[in-house]
Amino acid sequence: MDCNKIEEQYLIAYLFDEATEEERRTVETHLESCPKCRATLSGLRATVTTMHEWKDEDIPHRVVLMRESSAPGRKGFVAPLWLKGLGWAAAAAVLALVVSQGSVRYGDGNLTVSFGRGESQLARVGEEPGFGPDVDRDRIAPAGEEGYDSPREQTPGTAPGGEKGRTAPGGFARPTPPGGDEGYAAARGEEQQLAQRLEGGPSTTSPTENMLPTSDSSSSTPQRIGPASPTQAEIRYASMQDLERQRAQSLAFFQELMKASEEQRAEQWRQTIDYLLSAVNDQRQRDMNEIMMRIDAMGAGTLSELDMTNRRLDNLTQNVMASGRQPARQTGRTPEQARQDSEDEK
Amino acid sequence: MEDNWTISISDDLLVERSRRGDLKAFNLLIRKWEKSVYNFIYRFVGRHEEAQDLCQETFVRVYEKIEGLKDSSRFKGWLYTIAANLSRDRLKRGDLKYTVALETTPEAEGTQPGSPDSPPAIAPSPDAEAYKGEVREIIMKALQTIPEQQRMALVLKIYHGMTTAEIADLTGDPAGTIRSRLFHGLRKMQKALGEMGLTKEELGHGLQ
Repeated sequence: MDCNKIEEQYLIAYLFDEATEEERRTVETHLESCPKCRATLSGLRATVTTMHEWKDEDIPHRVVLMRESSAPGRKGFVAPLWLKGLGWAAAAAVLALVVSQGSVRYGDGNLTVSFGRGESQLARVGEEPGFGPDVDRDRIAPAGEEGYDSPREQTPGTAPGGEKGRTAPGGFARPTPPGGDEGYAAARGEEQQLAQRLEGGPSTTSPTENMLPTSDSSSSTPQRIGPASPTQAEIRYASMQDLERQRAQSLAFFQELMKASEEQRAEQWRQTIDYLLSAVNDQRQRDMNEIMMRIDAMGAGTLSELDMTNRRLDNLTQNVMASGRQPARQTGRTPEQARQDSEDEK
Repeated sequence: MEDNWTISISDDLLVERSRRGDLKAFNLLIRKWEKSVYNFIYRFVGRHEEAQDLCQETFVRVYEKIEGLKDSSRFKGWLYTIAANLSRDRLKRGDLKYTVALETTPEAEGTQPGSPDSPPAIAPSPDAEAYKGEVREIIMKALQTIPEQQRMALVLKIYHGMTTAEIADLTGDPAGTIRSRLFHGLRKMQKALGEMGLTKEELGHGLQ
């Protein structure tokens, strides 16, 4: 086989230990008789060895995925840290109160709020890190050395139980509420309750009145979108005061929920214990009755036996007395006496 | 080293979770692969800044496309393909963003290898360290003289332990073509290293 073919096809495979058995033999046979190819191989080997002297280098700046808004220039609803800290349930609640009517959906990196027939882009909710790639366009930015040193450390925005969060593609990031799976369904209901409660309910007070400062008190509010009306929610960017108030209300409500839940649980226990106690009492009562009945029955049996015995003794005594002066001697009994005896036996 | 624990997490798991939008998983995926990707690009492109930039871009692209990656076991090859394509595009366009590079190109570099002032990026350190930096510098310059396709194959083979078949799969070329590229690339490398004065003997001496 000529050297070119060997070089082109087999030498590299041989060098990197990728040759088949047959190729290996072909190369080795050729090498025995070809000093030129031997030199080539040895040169290649040395080159590979030399190249290995360039070790992997540390990456100068760690790459870390960070959430950043994709649409520069548009003002967004930037959730403050506490809101992120509260997690999705509260965020949803805040959303629910900012938008008391209409629909909310995520998509294209924006939170779109629609009500009536119009659609207006309200805001981008500051997503907590860890959720919803489709909610926003993410950018990867280099972080400082300390920026992402420990992937285990909790980012401030991570909701409790957030690891379990899932995002349907292009959809709403469903948060896992505190408490994990067990409280999931319940918390979903609670979210709604919370939202309703925080809204103040449609019948009691208007959401605007309840949750959002009136225009007089919201001079610090940067923007206002859409007119306020009884049927249309007032949409605007929440001011810090709004958020603070909502936060306090959310917390208070959560506390109430927890307290109520604790009380409910305690009440359940109390009832359970009561029931068990009464059941035990009933049973004990039944057992006592049973025992008494048996004792009675036993006593009755004993007494009547005693009675019978006594009567028999009495009879015998009377018989003896009646037979008077001639006590019965062995077998010397009258037929009448014998009959009397046998009656008594029965 | 410090990140070894991430290596023990399987790509499958991380990819699966990333596909479902788990950012933590994706960040772990980055932690696991960024060094390899960075070094791959750096060796291929030859510039730190460019490599960092492309490394980021690679992961952005990965993030955008990971939902479409049906077979998570193919992640590694897929990742390198993205990195390779981005790097190649960047080289092809010739619009290297960072024209002021720490490293000068071999053509512009008049310094003789082995002279004391050649490794600019390395801080003063013991001789062995300095020598290693010097060796790295020479290898990098030599590598930049290799034609692109051959260089790609060489880097993947030598520094990333890919088999010829894997490289062929990655570039979409037949395995025979890859072998040929590896062969000619290595020969050129051998020549370039020799011209830059880096011989096996010298290496052996310097790295005691």
